Amino acid sequence: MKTGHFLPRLGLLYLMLIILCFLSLGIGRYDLAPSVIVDIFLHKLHLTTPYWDPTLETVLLDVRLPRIILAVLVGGALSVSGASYQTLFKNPMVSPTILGVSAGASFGAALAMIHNEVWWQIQFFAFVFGLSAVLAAYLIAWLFGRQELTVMILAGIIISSLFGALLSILKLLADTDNALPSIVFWLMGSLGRGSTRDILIMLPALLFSLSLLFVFRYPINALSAGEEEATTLGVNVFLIKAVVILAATLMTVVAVCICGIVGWIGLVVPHMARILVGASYPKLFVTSFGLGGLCLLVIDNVVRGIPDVELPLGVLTSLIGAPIFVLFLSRIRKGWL
Amino acid sequence: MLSVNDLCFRYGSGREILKDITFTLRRGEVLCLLGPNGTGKTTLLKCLLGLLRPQNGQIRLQNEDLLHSSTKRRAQIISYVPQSSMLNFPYTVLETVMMGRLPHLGFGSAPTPRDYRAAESTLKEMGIADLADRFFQKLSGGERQLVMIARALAQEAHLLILDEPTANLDFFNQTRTLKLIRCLARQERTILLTTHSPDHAFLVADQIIMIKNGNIFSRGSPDEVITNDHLSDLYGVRAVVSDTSVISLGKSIKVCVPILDIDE
Repeated sequence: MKTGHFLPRLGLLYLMLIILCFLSLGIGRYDLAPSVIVDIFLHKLHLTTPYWDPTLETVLLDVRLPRIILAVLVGGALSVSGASYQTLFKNPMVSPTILGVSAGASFGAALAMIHNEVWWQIQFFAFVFGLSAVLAAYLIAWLFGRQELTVMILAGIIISSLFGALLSILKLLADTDNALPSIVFWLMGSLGRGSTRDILIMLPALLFSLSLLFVFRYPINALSAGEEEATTLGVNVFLIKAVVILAATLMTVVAVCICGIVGWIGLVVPHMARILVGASYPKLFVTSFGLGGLCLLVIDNVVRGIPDVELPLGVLTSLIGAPIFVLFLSRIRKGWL
Repeated sequence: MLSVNDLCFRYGSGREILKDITFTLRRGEVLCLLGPNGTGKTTLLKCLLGLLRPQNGQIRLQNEDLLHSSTKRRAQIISYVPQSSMLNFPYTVLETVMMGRLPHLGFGSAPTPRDYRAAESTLKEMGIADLADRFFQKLSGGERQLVMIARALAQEAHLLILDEPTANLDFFNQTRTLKLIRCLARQERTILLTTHSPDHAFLVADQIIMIKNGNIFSRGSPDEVITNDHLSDLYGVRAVVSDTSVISLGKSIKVCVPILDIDE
């Protein structure tokens, strides 16, 4: 990737994201013309007088706007987590869920649903169990593998399968009229329950994680050469591993709490970003965020745009993500990925 | 410049891998480590690089105590060329060489134009400026070796450590690498390398250390150290070291050839 190509491409990407955000406001069951959307926003600045049905204002500001913002934030968070893990583990096949975060969160959410808890409690349980799963994987790698990255991935797989088994037990026990359908629906992912409150929860976690990753972007980049080489380049490998795992886990778990399990984004988007701007982490990280936001927004627009049924978000990301990944496999053969 | 004293290393409570290693290396000198596989050469390099912590001994580079300096400081004064390097993602050559500037970056800050100039001028000096925008993974083994050396040089460290720089290379690239090592030494760079080829040691080294079972078996100039007796003691192989006069150069070069001991 030539240095001069980076900033124009990045600028274009974020410009497209902003335009798409605006266009997305018009998608949905209620028809909202672009001029009305602009007028509603101007009204908030006391520049116009309302001539529209007040329902439209609620739909726009309380339903669509938060959902669009959340799609961008969640997509961005998952993609940056994926890009960070792939660079850290030197492995193009790694996704943000590799250390067990979504398996743990799924179990937590299901546990809360079985006890008929309300939404915020479900989110809280998902958060706590998601973090605990990663902590457990990290401790296993610490105790038995001198923190080696391969051991850490194996520990993540073990923890994931453990929580997967526990989740199956919960499904078996769950009341088939209420709890089971909501568990199943949660596992397929949806942004349908996103609210302004979720944005307020997500933003601090996201800002904290992104600033951590930004500060350490160059040392993280060196880890793609392997732990020993990174050490000879002056990187405190122990610290950087902890930073990446903390930041990526925090972003992923918050995203999962808000929209359930949304696969593929964190695996596929970093590869798309590498095609745009190359592999260097400082560029990859900021590009992945915008591109991930763009992708999830497009997919969620499809979800909202199909009348009568709401297809689950996670199902659509898999339906779209899988073929795209097959395309990438052809690039692996060319030695590109 | 580099002085190593009584260095001892063992993994956990296992047997000692390195025993009382002591040597010094002067500025602009090339030191070559020779020894059979599994004899502790790589362990010694790892101790110098701070990847392993020796139980006993001292390592000083320009009067700085390396065992008590930070990872970052160590990277500013020692650079390393691994035997082979793998990047799983499409990094360009320039991006790879820029990693060598990492020890000089401030906390959280990006490389400055000066860092880019240092990387680019290193590529130019080595005659591989045209590779700058190519993908590292797509290069040939010889080109990768040059890029890794360029990354180490961009680090602007006092001491350059190379682990078997001629392994896995063809005859042309071996020669090119050896020539480069000689040129770097002439520019007052201090170099420490390992090799399995006594011939290569004759060509580039000012000083040779033979390591056997974690001990220094012999140390001195190539002429003193690489002898028929030493080679047969070290490797259990009968070999002949002889002078070959190269008429066009007007001088003689020492070469080493093993005797295969097969009844004809």
